[in-house]
Amino acid sequence: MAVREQQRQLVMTADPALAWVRLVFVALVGVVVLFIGTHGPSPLLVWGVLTIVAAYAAADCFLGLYRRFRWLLTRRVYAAIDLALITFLVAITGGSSSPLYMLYSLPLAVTVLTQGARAGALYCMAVSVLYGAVGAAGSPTHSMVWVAHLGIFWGLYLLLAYVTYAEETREEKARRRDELGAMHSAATAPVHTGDIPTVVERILTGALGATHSCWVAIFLYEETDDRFVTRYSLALDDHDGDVRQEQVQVYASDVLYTVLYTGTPMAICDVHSDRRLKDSVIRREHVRAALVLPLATGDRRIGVLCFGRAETHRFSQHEMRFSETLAKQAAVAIHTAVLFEEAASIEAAKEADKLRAQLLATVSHELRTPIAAIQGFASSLRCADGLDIPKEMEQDWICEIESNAERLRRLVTDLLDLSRLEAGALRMNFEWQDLHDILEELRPNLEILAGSRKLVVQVQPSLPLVRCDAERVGQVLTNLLENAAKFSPPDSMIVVGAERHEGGVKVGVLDEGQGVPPEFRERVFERFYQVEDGSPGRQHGTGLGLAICKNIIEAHGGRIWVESSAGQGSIFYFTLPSPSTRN
Amino acid sequence: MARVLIVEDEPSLLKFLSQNLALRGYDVVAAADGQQGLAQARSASPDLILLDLMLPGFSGWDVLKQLAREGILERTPVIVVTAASREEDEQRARMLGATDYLVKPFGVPEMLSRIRALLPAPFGS
Repeated sequence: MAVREQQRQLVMTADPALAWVRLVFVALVGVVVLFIGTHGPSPLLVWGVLTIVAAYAAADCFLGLYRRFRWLLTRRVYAAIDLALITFLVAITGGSSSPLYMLYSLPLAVTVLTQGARAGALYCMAVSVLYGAVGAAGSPTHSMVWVAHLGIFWGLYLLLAYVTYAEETREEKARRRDELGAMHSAATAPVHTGDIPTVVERILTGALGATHSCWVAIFLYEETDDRFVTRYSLALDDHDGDVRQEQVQVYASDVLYTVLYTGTPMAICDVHSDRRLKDSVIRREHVRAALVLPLATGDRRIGVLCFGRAETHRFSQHEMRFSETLAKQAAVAIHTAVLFEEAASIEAAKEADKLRAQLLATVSHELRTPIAAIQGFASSLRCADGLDIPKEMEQDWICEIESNAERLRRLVTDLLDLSRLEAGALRMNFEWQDLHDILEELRPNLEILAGSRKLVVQVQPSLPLVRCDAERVGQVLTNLLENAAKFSPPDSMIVVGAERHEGGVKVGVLDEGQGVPPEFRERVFERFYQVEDGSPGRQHGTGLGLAICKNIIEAHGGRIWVESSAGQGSIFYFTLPSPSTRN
Repeated sequence: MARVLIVEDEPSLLKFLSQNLALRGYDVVAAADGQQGLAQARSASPDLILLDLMLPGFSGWDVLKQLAREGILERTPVIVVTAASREEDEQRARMLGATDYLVKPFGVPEMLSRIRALLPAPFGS
């Protein structure tokens, strides 16, 4: 009910220019008629009046049909004035024989085309009565002409009514199809993905065509601390068939909030002259009429749906009902998408918990293994009473305890490094460095790690300086070389090379080992991931070396990867970008 | 002489288990991964199997299932030796047919008592 009231109020404030045109016209006709009354009719005057009235009627038709000021032109009081005016003119210009009777057909055309066939029939009857009265009051000899005139008049009406009816049926069909399309796109929006922007876009695209709108928008709100905040907004702007998307900012004073709070739709016939819309996002150059509907499911208010039209428009009951149904459907779709999104985030949190638990289990396993060896050998030494244990075996056990303690120490250090790297808590000491110097300094260490393997260092001359933490880059190189040595046969060759790469430096460590199978090339950089090929000696590392390398290189803005072909050895590369190419 | 099969991929722990058992008169057969362990269980007909669960590739769980399928579990007791200390792991292992569950780390006395509960001491002591 409130909607109807709002509509009525807004109708009153519509564009007054046309009303002035009509008023001036009526005054003009009055003057002319007064003139005829005092000077007696002359054919020139009659034709002059006829021309003015015809021009008026043509303008009436044109504005009414093409500018769609229907609500103004077709108000019954104006129709009655037109009718009375024409009848008066007919009466003073010869009664039923006057050619001015044809003027009736112009308002008839307007009435039938804008108000439909039924209103047209009513109009025809009114004309018949009035014209009949004029005819009866005039000379009875003209009765045959009079009947013929009315026959032509009704014939015209029937023709117009038929055309309108056919047109209306066609329009109705098209409208139903559009409306069904809009409902369909709202109902089949992919809510299960929890992707709210896609759902909103889908609903808006469907609504844009079905409602003759040039601008449609959805604002989704979230209630926090008794206050609504915009969670997401999307508008589709149809600029002569070119649909653009925009994100719109809604201010707290916007009338949209009224619709959201009260939960009642609002129809605005003329946006530009409505004071309530002064700061509203709806108030934009090309939007003249608007419909604002709340989006709510049950008690939960989730947002607002807006339709904007390019011309002032009085929304029909059918349009209101359809829009409200569409808004309900849209609200359900969006709410479902929101629920799916929430469910997905809970799922993700669970998944993270599971991963954390898994990691903890792995870490505990990795820590227990060296502890088990230490405890085992220590208790072996303690419980050796009565057994004849060779001296070398005892020595070997002591060595085992030592090396496992060392492994445990490395594991703890690596774990700490990695967790600090991942938390971003490990501060990098960035300085301008020449990779040539870093490699030269590390060379003795690398030689030791390479053992019996032949180490070749190839550095391109005049490498660009890079900003890096020399100690950490050294750690990466050491780790890579350790790996290379571990997985390649003695007497093979290990090459460490560095070259210019996209303004920075690319470093490669090549070995002639068994290579990394393609399916493991990404995963070798994960923690505790070791290629399961059943080869002996896989157990020397902590399983954290490459994960640490990856984190260090990424902290430098670089990239680390492995290229390999099974059995042909592998090359681990990493890049250190120069600061200018780093984003 | 009682024969014990040890399936353990960690070289240090394999050494610890096998040397201690060998010193105490057991006939020790060693395997460093699941496939090898399974092959030994079939061919060496051990009296007892010590089985690690976290093995590369063919895991201890797979070995346990395969042993059950081949009926080896019916005549040979299996002690699972693992660092996985969660209760559900133990339950699962026992459900699959493991006789005992020994969590790493452990000392020599504990290991011996578990083994002696299932096998007669080799020197009759």
